[in-house]
Amino acid sequence: MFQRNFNSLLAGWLLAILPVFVAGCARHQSPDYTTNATDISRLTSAVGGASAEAATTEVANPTGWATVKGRFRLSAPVTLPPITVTKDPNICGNTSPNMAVVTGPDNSLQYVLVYLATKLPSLDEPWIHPSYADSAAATVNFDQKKCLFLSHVFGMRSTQKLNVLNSDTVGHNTAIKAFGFDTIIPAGGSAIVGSVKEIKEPAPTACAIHPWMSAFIMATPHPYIAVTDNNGEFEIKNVPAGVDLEFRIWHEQVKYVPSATVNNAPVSWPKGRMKVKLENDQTLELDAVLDAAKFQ
Amino acid sequence: MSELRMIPTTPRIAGLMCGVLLVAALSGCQSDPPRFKQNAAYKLKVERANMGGDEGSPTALSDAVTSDIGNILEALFGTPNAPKLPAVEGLELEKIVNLHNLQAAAGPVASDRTGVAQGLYREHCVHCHGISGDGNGPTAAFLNPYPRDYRMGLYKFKSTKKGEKPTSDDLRRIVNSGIAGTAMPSFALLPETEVEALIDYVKYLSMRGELERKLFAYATQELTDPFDTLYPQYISLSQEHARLTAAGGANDPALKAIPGRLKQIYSDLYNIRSSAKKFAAEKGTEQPESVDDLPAKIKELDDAVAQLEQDVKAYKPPRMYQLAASSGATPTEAEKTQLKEQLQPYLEMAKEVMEPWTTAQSIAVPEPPQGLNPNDQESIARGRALFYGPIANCISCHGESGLGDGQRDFYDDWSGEWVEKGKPEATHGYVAAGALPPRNLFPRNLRLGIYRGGRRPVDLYWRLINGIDGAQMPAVPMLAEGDPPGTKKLSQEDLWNLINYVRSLPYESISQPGRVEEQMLKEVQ
Repeated sequence: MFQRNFNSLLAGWLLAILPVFVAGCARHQSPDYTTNATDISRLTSAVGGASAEAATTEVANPTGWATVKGRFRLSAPVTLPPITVTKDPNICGNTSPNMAVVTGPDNSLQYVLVYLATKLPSLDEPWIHPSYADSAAATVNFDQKKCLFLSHVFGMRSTQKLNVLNSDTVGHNTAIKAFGFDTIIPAGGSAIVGSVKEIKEPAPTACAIHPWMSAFIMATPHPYIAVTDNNGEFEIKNVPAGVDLEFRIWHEQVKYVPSATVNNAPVSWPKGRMKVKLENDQTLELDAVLDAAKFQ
Repeated sequence: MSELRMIPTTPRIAGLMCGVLLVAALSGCQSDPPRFKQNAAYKLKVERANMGGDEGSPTALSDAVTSDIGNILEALFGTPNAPKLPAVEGLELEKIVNLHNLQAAAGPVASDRTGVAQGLYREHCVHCHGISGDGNGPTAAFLNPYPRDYRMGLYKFKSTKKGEKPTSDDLRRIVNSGIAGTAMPSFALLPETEVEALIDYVKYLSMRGELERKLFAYATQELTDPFDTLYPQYISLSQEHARLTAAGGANDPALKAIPGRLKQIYSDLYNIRSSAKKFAAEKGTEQPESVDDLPAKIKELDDAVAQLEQDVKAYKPPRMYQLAASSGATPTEAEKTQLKEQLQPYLEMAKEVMEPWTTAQSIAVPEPPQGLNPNDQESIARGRALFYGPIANCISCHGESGLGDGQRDFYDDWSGEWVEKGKPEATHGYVAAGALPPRNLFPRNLRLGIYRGGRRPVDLYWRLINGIDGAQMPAVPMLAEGDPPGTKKLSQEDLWNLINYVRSLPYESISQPGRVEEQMLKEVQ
């Protein structure tokens, strides 16, 4: 009798506890990142509060104009293997040169982008030299031939119009996602990019029809932007003098160039930032040698 | 005998059992409220792209910065149970989402006393699209195509220009109709208010996810570690010391004291980052025979070392914001202003990701020119010529028979993010960090009669005139006013002819029927 009672009690108990085993408890998962409740509440009250007064720091005006020029070289020769062409070989050839590193005489490095990253308080005098007025709204051409973008790295003002040409006998489509542009450009055709805007880093440019085609376009609101030529040389004229400026130096293979040997002294450019303050009519000359090992 | 023994034990065991149950009932099941997952794969991507440029500089964001980003996101966008939007100057939130809708879509699945449903996102969407809208819910890996990851802020099937956000109507069309040929079902049976709530929640996840990406990109690009400049200074001062010593300053007391001070600086730097060791091999310098004005040079070096000592002592690792250590959860007004100033760049980023949702506008679709109807054989023939022609160039991707076999090695933007040419190990890293394994994007097989973005002529019109965001489909070049005759672009009439042809393609006979079957078989598999 008791035995039976006991058995039914046990069975009942097991039945009662069964759902606990079946349903179980949610496992505690260790978080992939931590947050700090105090920080969050402080940040929240700061954001929710009245809008911050704009910092009214006096900005010194430039005192005149200066020039930044120079030459980029690699410390040793670098050659990248060409890219195998997968489409339209009669027009594009069987291989296409690898444009990621293009060097000229004496290991000079082409397609280094140098631009002013400082946010200028105005886009007029005394910050922008009048000699740039004519080109401010000009149309600049960006062409492609033999399934290669003719300017692998291309600098422009965001106020300019970008006209994409196709000098090939085959259709291309040029996609510059940063500008929301992706249009078929028939052989011999062209298209204006309607939405060029200031961007923070060079915008990858591609062609879906010929996937090996690649270029980078950078647009700054001011004209102080240059790309090195086949001799590794660049020149930016009429840069505001007498104020703190920050240039950024970029190359496809290493992105922002972190360091170099400039005029025989090692220089560190954290994230490609070069800080300068130029004197009136000064010409800053950089003879920069970059470590070839990073470009392989 | 045994029965007798049972008498006293049974109540005891029963008591024990009840005790166990009581403990279980009282302690209950406690689980943490759900959190948004961090976009770890994208974090890894921008770390790889933007950090570790120089020998010894860090290759990943510190835990402190990662946590800062989580704090900023939570302060601005809340949590999965309590979503919110930041108040951004000059932006009317009502134009983007309705906050009541957000509340209804967020939180656990429930309904209130009047039967109004709550937790809609977790009821209908989360198993595919994930709690963070990362398109990586529990079922995602089994679906092809993968569910949409909202965090890029990109949407394929919409009526707006490439690069613009979809309109609410575009999202509503997808929720109501589903996406043919994918696992996205129709939610047309849900009450209208619930669909609206889900649309707003998708926008919310999208904005939050886009801001998260911007914050990671910003942190890897803009935060600079003072260490990166302190160490080279240490090296160059050591060299200068060696140079001046060699030039005859060996007996100068100031110069004699320098090595000890440099050693201390080095040890401090080493404590900041032990990788300083890597630099320790001093680079050789030219040893001049004499230095002009040696005492002045020694004084200069002495000052420079003093400055470096100070800078190294004042070293602070980079952070997204700096909080005063003393104050509690509620900062003073002065601190608030200071904090808000620090947060300004992030609020501007929030504005950048939120504003486009207020300006998205459908492209108006003009009436097709008179006499154009879908069964007009002449129009279809003209469309066919355009399909094969050099201006629209459809065959270069969709293939000579429209089977989508012209080019099959594309990636869309979501998968493409995890593919780096010639670096398969990079992809492995992203997948390990939580990305779905990348898959190729195939151009649509136009002979199946399945159109993901909708089969109406107007849907095809939008696909052609805008291209498809996030995919590789470009826009067709359209004639603008003032283009000279003979310009290699399409007229409106051309476009409708092309649409008629594409819509007739599933019914067009094909010269190589065997190939069609083979292709279709492949797609089924």
